[in-house]
Amino acid sequence: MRERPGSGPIRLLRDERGVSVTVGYVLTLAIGAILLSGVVIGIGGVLDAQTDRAVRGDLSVLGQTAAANVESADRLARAAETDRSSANGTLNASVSVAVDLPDRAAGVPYRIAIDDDAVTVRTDRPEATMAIPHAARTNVTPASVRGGPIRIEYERSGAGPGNLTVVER
Amino acid sequence: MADVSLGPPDRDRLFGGDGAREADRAQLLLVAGLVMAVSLVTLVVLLNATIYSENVATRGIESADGEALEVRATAVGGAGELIGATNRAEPANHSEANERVESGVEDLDAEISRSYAERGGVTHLNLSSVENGSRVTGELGAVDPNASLLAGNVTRTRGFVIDVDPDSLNETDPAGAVDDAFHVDLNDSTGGSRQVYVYDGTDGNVTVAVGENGSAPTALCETPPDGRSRVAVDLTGERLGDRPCPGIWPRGLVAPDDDDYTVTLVNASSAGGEVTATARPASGDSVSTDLAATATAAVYEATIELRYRTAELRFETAVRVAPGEPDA
Repeated sequence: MRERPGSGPIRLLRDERGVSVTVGYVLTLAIGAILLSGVVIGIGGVLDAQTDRAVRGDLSVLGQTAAANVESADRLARAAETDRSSANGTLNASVSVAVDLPDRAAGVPYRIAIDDDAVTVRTDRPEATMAIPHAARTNVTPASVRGGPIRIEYERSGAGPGNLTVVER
Repeated sequence: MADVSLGPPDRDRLFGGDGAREADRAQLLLVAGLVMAVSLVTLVVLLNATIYSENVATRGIESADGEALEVRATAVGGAGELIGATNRAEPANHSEANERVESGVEDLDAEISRSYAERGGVTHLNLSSVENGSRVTGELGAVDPNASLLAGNVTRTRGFVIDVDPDSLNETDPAGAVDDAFHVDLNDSTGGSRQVYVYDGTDGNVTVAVGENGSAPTALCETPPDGRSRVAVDLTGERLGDRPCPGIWPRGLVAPDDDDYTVTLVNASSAGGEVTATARPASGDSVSTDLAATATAAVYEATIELRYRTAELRFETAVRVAPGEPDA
């Protein structure tokens, strides 16, 4: 008996009724896009959280480094003032401490503000602020400088009070 | 044995044709795998950054000032010892004393420079100025038993130590100390005086009492002699024996206050021992004293200029060195 052409297993494999190449691709792309979006959204949250955490961690380290160096400059300034001769023509009490801070905290630019009580470091994006109290007893001139290498200076020649000043390098 | 080797690429499987449906099946899996791989790499990078930040956060912050303070302490200590040694050597006159100090500071500068150059610091020390005075020493038994001028019209005194023999002290109490005890009278030219009494407080202890303007004194501190032949009463260092005894030296006679005052030893026969003091006169180079025979030219104080630099730090100051001066 003669068999009908296209029948049996081979016919089933080649049967494309209800399935088109276009629909197949669209389905593939749609599922891929949904999967990718889900992953991006999920990782995006993690990314923001991790960036925020890294920035805060770096700001904390930078603030503590700056505060420690302000206290170092304060100790040196007080040592320079102890038993200082105020006679005319003698050397001024002068202290300068250079601090090599990075330009960015976890890849984000930041600013350093300093006053009599604390060193405050902050970034705008993400918005993060860390205030590190310092124990300097010498007066500190309030200042705000761009994050990066700084110098803490003290200079006193006459009888007036000397101030610690923070400047960019 | 089964053949598990891959056959040659089939054009129809790769580029379409009758078997194209079979090739499409892996695309979704590939895309998903790629996305997952990229995600995992991103996560690893982010976690690495966080771990790095935390690692940095836990690092110690090095203090920049330790070495500069060490240099200052070394310079001040060295200059103080130099002045003390110069004065103890009893120079013939003030010029000789000044030359010795100047030469000594140059040597000290060379030593400190070499020592800190090895550690990457540059130091420079030079003598800025010197204030002259007198170093007065004497046996208490050799001075006038009633009243003897130790130093007249002085502005500052340092290293004022009386090494008393505990067995020679008069036994008395605060009420009787004014008349019976050996004491030092510090008479401020602007008014007021202080008396520092040293006596045996009836219990065998060496006792120091302080009174104002000749009034009955108040016992300040005491120490047992413990068999020692000498107990040091350090008036400017405010110590009795090996213990601190704050309040001996009047606050009004401490630098930078430059009032003239006179130091007199009274009732010296009520104690035995030796007295030593270095004083700066209000004018001139030498102080007036009744112990002129044992007074020598001395350097009272020196001002040294100290500079210390490293790559990160600059420290400069002019320090007054007067070892044994009362603290402000």
